[in-house]
Amino acid sequence: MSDHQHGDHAHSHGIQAHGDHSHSHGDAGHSHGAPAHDPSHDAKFKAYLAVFVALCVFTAASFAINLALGHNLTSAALILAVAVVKAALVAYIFMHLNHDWRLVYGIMTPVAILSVMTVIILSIDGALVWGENAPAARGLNDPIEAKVGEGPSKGH
Amino acid sequence: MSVSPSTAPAHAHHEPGFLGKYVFSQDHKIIGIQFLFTSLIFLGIGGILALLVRIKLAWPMAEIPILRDYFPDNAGVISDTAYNMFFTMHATIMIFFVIIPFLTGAFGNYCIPLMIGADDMAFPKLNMLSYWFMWPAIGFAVAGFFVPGGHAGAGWTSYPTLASGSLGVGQGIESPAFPGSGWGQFCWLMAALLVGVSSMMGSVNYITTIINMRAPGMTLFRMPMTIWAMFITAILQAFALPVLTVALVFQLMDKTMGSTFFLPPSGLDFGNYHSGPGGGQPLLWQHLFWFYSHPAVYIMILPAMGIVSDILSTFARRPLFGYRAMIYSIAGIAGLGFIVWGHHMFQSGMDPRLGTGFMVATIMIALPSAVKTFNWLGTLFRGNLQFTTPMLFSLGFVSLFIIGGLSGIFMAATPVDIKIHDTYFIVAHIHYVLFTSSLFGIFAGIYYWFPKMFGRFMSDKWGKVHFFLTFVLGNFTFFPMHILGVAEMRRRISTPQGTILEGGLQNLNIFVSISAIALGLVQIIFLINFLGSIFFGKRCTERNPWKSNTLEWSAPTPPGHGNFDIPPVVYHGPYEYGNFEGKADDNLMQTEKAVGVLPSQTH
Amino acid sequence: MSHAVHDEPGLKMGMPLPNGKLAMWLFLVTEIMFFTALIGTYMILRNGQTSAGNPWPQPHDVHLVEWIGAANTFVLILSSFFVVLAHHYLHINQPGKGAAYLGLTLVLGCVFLGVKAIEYKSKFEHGILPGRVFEKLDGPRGYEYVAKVKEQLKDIVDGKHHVDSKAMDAVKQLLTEITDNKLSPKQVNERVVGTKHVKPVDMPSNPQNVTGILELDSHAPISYSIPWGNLWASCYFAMTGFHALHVLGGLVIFAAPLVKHFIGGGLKPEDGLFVENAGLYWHFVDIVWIFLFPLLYLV
Repeated sequence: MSDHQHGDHAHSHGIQAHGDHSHSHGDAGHSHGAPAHDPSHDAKFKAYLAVFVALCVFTAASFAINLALGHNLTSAALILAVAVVKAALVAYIFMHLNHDWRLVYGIMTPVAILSVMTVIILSIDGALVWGENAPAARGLNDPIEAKVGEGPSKGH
Repeated sequence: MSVSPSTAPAHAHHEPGFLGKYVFSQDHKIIGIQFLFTSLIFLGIGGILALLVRIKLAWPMAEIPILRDYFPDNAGVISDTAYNMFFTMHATIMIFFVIIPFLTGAFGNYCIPLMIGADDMAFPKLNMLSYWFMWPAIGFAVAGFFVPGGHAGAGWTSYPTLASGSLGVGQGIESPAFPGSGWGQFCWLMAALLVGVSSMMGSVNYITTIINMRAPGMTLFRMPMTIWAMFITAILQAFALPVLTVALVFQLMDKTMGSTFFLPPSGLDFGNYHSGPGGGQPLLWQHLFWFYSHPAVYIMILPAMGIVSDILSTFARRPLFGYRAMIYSIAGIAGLGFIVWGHHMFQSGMDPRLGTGFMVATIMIALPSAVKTFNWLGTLFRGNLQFTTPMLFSLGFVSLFIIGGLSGIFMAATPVDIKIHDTYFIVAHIHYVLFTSSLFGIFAGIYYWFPKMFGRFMSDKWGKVHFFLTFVLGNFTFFPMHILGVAEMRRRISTPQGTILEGGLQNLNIFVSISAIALGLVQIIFLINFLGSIFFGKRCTERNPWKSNTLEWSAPTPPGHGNFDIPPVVYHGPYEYGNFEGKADDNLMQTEKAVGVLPSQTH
Repeated sequence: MSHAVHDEPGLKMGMPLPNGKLAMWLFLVTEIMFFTALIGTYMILRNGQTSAGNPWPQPHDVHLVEWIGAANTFVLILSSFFVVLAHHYLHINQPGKGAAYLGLTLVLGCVFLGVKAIEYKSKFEHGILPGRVFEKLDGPRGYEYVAKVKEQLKDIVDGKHHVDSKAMDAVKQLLTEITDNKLSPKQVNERVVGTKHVKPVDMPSNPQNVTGILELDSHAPISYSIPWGNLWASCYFAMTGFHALHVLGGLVIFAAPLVKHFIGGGLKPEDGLFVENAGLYWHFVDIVWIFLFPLLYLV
């Protein structure tokens, strides 16, 4: 019998046994019906409220940046940075990534990399090159573009 | 007993009626077989379209008596418009309705739960829905042949502005350039969109099933290669398909709503027709389309590679050489597959600096592909080979995939590609990879799992006849295309041109067509063998006729509802073939505990 | 860890995530790629085609009002907050409160779609639709533009549409000049919007520094040239349209637990998983809007 077991040892550390589900946020609720006035729940509520307030403030901030700076590269960069922060807040607190990131990073990291990379590669061909040399390089003779095009424009 | 009650075989369910059992079934095995039959029917349709293309190419002006009824105004000569329609729909049907449904739909559905030891998919209803989304797609794909102007004819890639042009807001969706760009193109777009939705539903289901539904002990690195390939294929689909969906929606909007995503800034002029002002980029379609369609090339080959790996190991009676390297190379191919789409666009006017990056990434794919090839050869080396029909098709796969892979390296290099891209060289390449590789993998899989699916064997004798004729005629059909391509015979043009006629290569072109017709006729042997064996084949009563190791062979033949009568528990990897103390057989199923050292650890 | 423990494979393989939640995250992966392609395309077309002399339309060129977009952002953020609270209260076994917050979410989703409908209506009224915007007035499109303006001016003079009395004289004068064939398409556009507001590409060769009809009455129903307007409308309707479809889908999803609560005998803590998955989807829809709002209205 002991021989028997030997064959297995090399592999058995690979077994990922997870008997319980209770790590998972989603179905934790029904396993223990927690009392309503648990202080941890108040803390959660406060966190949600804080994120909500922050989101409203950030929305107002991006609006204010637009009013103050107008349409230019700086304001665009600032406003998009604010949007990224807002999205991160929603994902981290509202979508419970603060608990679940260790479970879903395996699929979220590749898709994050892939989506950013795709836009960058497409921009190299679609925006940067086309913008600069469009009519000549693409064989498209656009009289209007040729007449008034005073150079590339990036990042309005 | 270390088995949870939910996987126990006691299913106190009432027998569903015929419709519930075979038509609106939620059983993954039935859905897999539904995909199998659907794909077989479309294999026939796509094959007939291919033969029509070859007839036109070899005998451009021939009046073909049987076609006289269909082309009355041409006295049976296939018109150029019809030719455009045939080659476009041949490719579309073979890719979207044959290869992908065969590999991910049929084998994915049938094998995934059985090979990981689950009683069904994670979401049976979603699974059923993914099959039934195929039917509206099929409806559009078939209806396109009967709409005014005929089916789409701009190639399966449907490049704007040829495909996307329309007459302007409120005037009709036909492009002034050619008739098939109207309702035919609309049907093409809808068909591709719906197939994509079906595949996306399937892929979410497969990934969830493989991650969460494995039998006890089935760790990730004990999964058979087929499952690994299906897993990575499903990830590819989940990541890439939405981008194609966006591109299809844009083209649909350009066609029907007057949007200008793919209409260049100066608009379009065809003779007297002037479009409204555009503003978009025609090249954007190519980027979005190939962002999906290059990974789709791997969606069409990786599952076949997985199936072939399992079959080679089974019939070589040796552990798969370099199991982990095989997995990492599949993952590498899939990862690199996302950054090489631009190699389809070297001639398109894309920024040449970007082309260099794509070229380097493309050539790098040769590395993981070579790892796989050498591991297959390593598996065969000093193996105790059993030349069954599935083994023969797998050997055919390996040998011909090498030819297809090597011609791919030619085209990865930008300067060479610019010369041969739009010629028959690329047609030869794609058919070596898709016909003699993917389809050989599919044939191998059908012969291999047929006993499990239907409880009977397919005829081995006729299977071998089918293999040898397909192997020889496949090479006769596709190998000369390399020569024709280098001699500048251009693809997608209905009449032979250039040095073909001057250099006397037209005879080779005719030889290709004759071989293609013979190749088509040979498949009738397969069809008769397949259909006949379902009803009259030799009965397979044992569970494990091939003495294989994976879990599906521990289930009853054919498996009932819920798959396993004995809930499987897995103790080791799937490739333990060799000599075992006190055991007559040379295989060790994944459910059997090991005695002594495992063969995979001694090699 | 003893050998015996190693020898018996564990009961449950895979991740400590319910199938439904895992599938929801996978579905969100496909959605992320979908909106990446959609928004990425917009960024590329917008930055790739335009130049300093021929820039992308400003929000007021295309009747886009920034504060309406900001208000809609607030509506979606609030609804996201309510979904989190709904799940929170189901989680701590207060289904009544949970259902109430779900109901509020549903209402806010409808408010969002209502505001969107008002915005779409203004685009339809001003003809800012793909393929229907006038631009490139020096091509054949210019003569279509003149014919269209002539028709609109006639309608105003005939009293079918009302304009401010200050603008009436200019309307009548422009109609006469068009009828007499005195003006090129670009000059017509100049008279409509006023020389100050003419885009560089539409500037006639001899600008005459006139005050435009739209400067006298900004609500006058007269078409004017919007360079890149067709592309702008294509992108705008594709992006906001697909986002609105997702909002609509979310409303259907949220209706299910509400129906269960009020008709099917009450929500239970077990429904928390469904609400959590629906919430994940809704937050994703919210995140998409968090990017769409600045990209369309502000940047």
